Amino acid sequence: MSKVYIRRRQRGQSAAEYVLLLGLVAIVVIVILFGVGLGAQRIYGLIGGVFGIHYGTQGKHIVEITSAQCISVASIRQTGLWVVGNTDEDIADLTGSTELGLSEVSANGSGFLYHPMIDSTSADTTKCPESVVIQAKDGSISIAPLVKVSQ
Amino acid sequence: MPSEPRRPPTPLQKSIKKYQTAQLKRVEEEGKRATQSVPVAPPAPIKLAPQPQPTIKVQTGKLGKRTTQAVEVVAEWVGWSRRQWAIIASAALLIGLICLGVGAVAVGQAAQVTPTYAPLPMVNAGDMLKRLQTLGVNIVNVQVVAVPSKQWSAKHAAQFDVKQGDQLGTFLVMSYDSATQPSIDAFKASVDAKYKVWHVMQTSNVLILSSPNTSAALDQIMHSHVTQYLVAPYRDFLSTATPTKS
Repeated sequence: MSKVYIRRRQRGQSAAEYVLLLGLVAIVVIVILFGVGLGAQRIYGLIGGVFGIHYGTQGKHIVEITSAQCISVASIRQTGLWVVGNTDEDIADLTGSTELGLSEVSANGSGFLYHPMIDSTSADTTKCPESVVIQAKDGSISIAPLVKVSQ
Repeated sequence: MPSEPRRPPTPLQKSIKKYQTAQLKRVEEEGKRATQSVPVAPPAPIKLAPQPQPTIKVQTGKLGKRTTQAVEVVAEWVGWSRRQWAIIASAALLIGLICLGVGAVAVGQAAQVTPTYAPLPMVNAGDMLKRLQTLGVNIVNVQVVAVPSKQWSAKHAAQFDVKQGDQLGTFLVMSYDSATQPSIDAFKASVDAKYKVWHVMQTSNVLILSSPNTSAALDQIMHSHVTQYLVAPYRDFLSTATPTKS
């Protein structure tokens, strides 16, 4: 009798622990996803860009990538990105990122220019990232796959 | 100090003691089996438990011993492992589902909000100069640049100065066959010894470089004119301005 009693009690405890643990995991994952909202958005954007998704948000503000290229020029042994586009955002609020990292975006007339160097010693498009994300602090985002160009 | 009268053990205490006794017995048995030096002796009474010792049947055959050991070990191992794996698998599944859900929402939003922008107009360097002159920009010293060249892959190019009051600037305007072509020349200019200090503006199929001595105000005026000419009429998120003489 007592053996049965102990077993039942142990099973009940493990089930409660199990449910509590899963609930905690769910909460932690959701909190992380929302807490690092821009980071998660950027990661999803980069993954989307790798699969060829090209889009920009159309809400409060617009970020539009008009040209996204990874350029390598043999004569000057340089490889880098050249991403331009239009936006009504403040340029200081924009960040550009690829799988390799993120950096600031500069002005290109009334639009933006994202121009990080990938390799300053060689012309090699194999070092190019696959996609680029231009993201504003308010969540406006533009994603584009990078076109590799060699000259 | 007088000691308190000892309470009779509760059913739970009894059960725990019984369980502990059984565990001790099992460990002892396993130790004996491992040595395999002597046949398994009947279990010695353990003083910890006041209850009568449970009888443990031990199979005396060689195969029987091994089977019993294996079953005990596997049963213990599977019991813990299953629980752990169930928790790990469920947590992984939950995390995956949440990430997939967020991804699906993001993709759904992407599908809904992807705007179809009208293509920007393609113009040549001559059109750009005419437009600027129409807007009242004081353009002087116009020089046609021979392109394509070793430096530039443009189709048309012109260099000129702009004088607005006491502000002066030098501009190089180049036009290309497509909107993607200016990027290569712009990239090359950004690392060129001479042109890396020039300001770059790339819009549609036009690339405009302004010399470093060009005033910021003049740069701003030129950018505004180019945007109003090539971008703003085709993008409703940018304000359009009625062309006025600057």
